[in-house]
Amino acid sequence: MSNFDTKEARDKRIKDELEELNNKLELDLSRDDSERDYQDPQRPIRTKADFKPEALFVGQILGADGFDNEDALFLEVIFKHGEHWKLLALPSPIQTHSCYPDEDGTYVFAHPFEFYLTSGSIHGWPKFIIKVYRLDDFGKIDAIAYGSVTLPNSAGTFELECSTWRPMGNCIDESYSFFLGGPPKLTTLNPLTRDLTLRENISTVSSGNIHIQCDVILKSFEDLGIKTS
Amino acid sequence: MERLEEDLSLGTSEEYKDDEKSIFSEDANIDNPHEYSKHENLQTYEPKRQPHSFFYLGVSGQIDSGEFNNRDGIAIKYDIVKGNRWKLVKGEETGISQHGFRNQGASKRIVWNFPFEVIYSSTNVKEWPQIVLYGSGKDFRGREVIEFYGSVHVPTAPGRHTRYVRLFQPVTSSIFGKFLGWIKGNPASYKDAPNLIAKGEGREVTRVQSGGLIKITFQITQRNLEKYGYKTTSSDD
Repeated sequence: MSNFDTKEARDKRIKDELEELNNKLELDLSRDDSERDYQDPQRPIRTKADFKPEALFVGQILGADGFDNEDALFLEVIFKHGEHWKLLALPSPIQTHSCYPDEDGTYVFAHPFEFYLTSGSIHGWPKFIIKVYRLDDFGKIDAIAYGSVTLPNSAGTFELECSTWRPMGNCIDESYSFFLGGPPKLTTLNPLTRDLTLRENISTVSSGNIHIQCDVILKSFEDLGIKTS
Repeated sequence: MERLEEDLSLGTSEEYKDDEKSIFSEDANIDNPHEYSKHENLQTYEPKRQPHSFFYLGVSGQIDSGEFNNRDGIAIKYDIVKGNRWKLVKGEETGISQHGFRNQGASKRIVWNFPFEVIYSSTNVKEWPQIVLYGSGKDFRGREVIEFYGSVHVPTAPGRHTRYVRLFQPVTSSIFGKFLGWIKGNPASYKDAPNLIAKGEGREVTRVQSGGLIKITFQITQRNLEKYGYKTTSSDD
């Protein structure tokens, strides 16, 4: 550009530069967050942390029925989740009080639980592993049934029913357990969920049902495209 | 804006009178975080003036009725237990109902029809509120004795829900202790009552038997939970 511009050329040059600057400014404006907010006022500004999926399981172990027993029962409930899930609070092992049955054979546990987790994968959705113990009149404690149930994966309120079983021995073991207590037990909890091939070698006897009520709140699963309902 | 006077007023008329404020006034009430400024959605994002990301949970409903096997004259007391992040905005967290007796016929139903309404605000969904229920009756000398305990979580999905809560009563370990408790008006009861029932830790060594069944109706209203990403109902759309 020569220094000896005519007046029109100089005006034109200034006008072009101004227009260029204006264009740049408009582009910047459209990238401003306030502009985006005005277009979609319902959505707040979201950071990376808002897109980490979280799940809250809140509920109660309501009770049990279907055990043909007159002794007191209590449950131990183990909360198990996959390796990519992380509990956001201290885990608390759940052991309920011992409850005597009423005339219908229902037991009331009413044990509240709450688990708040972040998730890194849909594999390993949390589940409960339940061990049922019997406390008889002489103060003896026996594990009489086992069961496992997966917690619900869509938001809302659910009533879950966990059916339980116990391993069966030969006829000497069964009559021993009938008269004196002490039914056959599992030595490890692996056959329940961890290593299902071990179940080929055992025979089991059915036992009662455990009722659980669970409310679920999910966060940011749908934003990542995970559909659960 | 003027509000017509209603004949059935729900409280003092001062609560329901609108202030003389234009909706376009300055959002100067930023100190009260619960103040709803109608144009908040059109504001630009200014980190220094944005109020906290509160969401609100309104729980209302009533304790309808209950059935106990052979007990009569029960009053229900409720306590709402929640985490310390949850702030009570309005309402009362405890209440004691009247003593209810059965009708003369064969039905075992005791009716209280005892309403409650609370509004909470929080920034995190953990430690969701629960309602702890106590059932108490009068013993042979007229003393008030708490016998039944139970708890239920406030439902997470908005809308109307009915919950049936089973209560349990603690069992004394010896017959002599039971007799002594009956004479003194002091049967087996829990020491640290709402927390022990609501948290569930420390109850492992107690023995209970089943008590009764109570029907509670809930009506849940939520604000801003979906805006901050929490999904509480699965939509069928």
